[in-house]
Amino acid sequence: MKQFDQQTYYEILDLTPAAKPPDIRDAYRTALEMYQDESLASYSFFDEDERKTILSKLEEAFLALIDTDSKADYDQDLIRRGLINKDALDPTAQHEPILIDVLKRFRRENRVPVIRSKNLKSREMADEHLNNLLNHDVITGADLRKIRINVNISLDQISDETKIRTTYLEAIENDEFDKLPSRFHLKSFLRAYLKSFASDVEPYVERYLKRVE
Amino acid sequence: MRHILAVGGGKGGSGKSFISGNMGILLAARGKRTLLIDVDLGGANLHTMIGISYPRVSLSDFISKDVESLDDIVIPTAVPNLFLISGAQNSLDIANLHYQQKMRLLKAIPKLSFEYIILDLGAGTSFNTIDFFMVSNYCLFVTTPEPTSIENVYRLIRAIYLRKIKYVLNEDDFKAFLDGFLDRHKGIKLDFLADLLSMLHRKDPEKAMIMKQTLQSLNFKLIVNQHRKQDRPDLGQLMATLARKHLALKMDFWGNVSFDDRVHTAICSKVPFIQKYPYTRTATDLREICDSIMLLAEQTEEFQYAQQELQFE
Repeated sequence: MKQFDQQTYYEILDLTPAAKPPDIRDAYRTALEMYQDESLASYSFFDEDERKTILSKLEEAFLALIDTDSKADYDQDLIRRGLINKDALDPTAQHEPILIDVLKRFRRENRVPVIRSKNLKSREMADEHLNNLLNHDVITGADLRKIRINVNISLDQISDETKIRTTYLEAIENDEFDKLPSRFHLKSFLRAYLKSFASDVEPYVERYLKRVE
Repeated sequence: MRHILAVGGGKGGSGKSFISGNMGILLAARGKRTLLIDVDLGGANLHTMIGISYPRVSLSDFISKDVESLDDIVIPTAVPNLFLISGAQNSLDIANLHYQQKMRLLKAIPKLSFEYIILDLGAGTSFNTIDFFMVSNYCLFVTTPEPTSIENVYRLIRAIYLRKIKYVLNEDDFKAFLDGFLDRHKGIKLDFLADLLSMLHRKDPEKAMIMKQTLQSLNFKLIVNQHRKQDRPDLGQLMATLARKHLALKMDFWGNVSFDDRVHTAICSKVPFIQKYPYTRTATDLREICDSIMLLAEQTEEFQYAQQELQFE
């Protein structure tokens, strides 16, 4: 931990060296709210002298950083003294997104066990069954029910998840299209129903609806 | 695992017993076996807060050695899962415990088997109060958005802080070092910790490391109670930031508890607020704090399991 007067302006204002003028202004305002004379939060935390020291240092820090030229000078000085790294000044360097490949490789190399929920497994199974159906031109409700029972998901579960009444889900499986309020409902309910156990739903929706027209 | 939560705040009337009592009821309602201990020696009133008028037994029976174990003075309350050790009916001189009496009590508390133990502490920063903070896993500070109350919270934090420092520098040669240092510094000032650490580092780098870690392991939480609409909503946040920046303490702000006139009504009718007015802003605030407590407890448990597993490997 550093002595207060040895902290850099960035440390005093809780900023990073890449901060832009609006950030610096915000940080200064927040700091003032915290340290000024009437501040409820700090009035009993510091005595008179400490507060004066802090406030004058805050002002010094703000004035030095808000001006682009003097900030550049100050940054150069910090770099020379080895207090900050040159890269820290580059705003883009800090928020570089982590590529998904890097994450994947990290996982592989560190052998973090991938958590497979039961849900995921059953989804995989359902996908396999559904894939077989792609050879058929049309798909019936009975086909879908067979897969659903195979992967061990009840209509009640689907109803819980999708908030669609079980009677409608049954109607989908029994091919009783007229029991549903409209064609539009049929399509959207069917899509929700499939989504609850399959990953890719569109090809099956299409094949199912072929019989409805 | 046992979670001991100390609720304190320095100033009287900031709502320590109110928070403790209602937290006890909320935790119990969520199925946690919870014990409230009123250690406001000399000013006990937690029993009234949760609707028990005349507790049969109290801490004074334990301290005067009429009973052997704390378990014998635990009384059930009207709320399932909630139990109380009352501090009422204490003899008048109990506020000044002897050293042995205090140690006996401090050692007995962690042996109780409850999921949550909430210590309702008295006002002030006497030795007795701070000792109870030392046996707890978490310290919850209650303040009101008034300068008087905030001032006392800071004093309490510094007292605990200094106690921790003394605890680390317990050996003879360090004691002299610390005394000299405190003489020169006159209170915990701006560069207190930075100076202490740098001087300690010169004397014994390892000790300086331990000191830093010990102070960082303090687990402080802050609540701003009786928060009215015109008060700054981020006051607690600012206080936490100050503690972090200038005392290197980890202090989390756990939110405001809104002011409500009906708290007075509830206390006067001797019915817990959370039961009498469960559908108020204040009750919602209290429930959120209860969530925070349970989340923290959960994280601590997970952390400890992880540590145990590491040891087995």
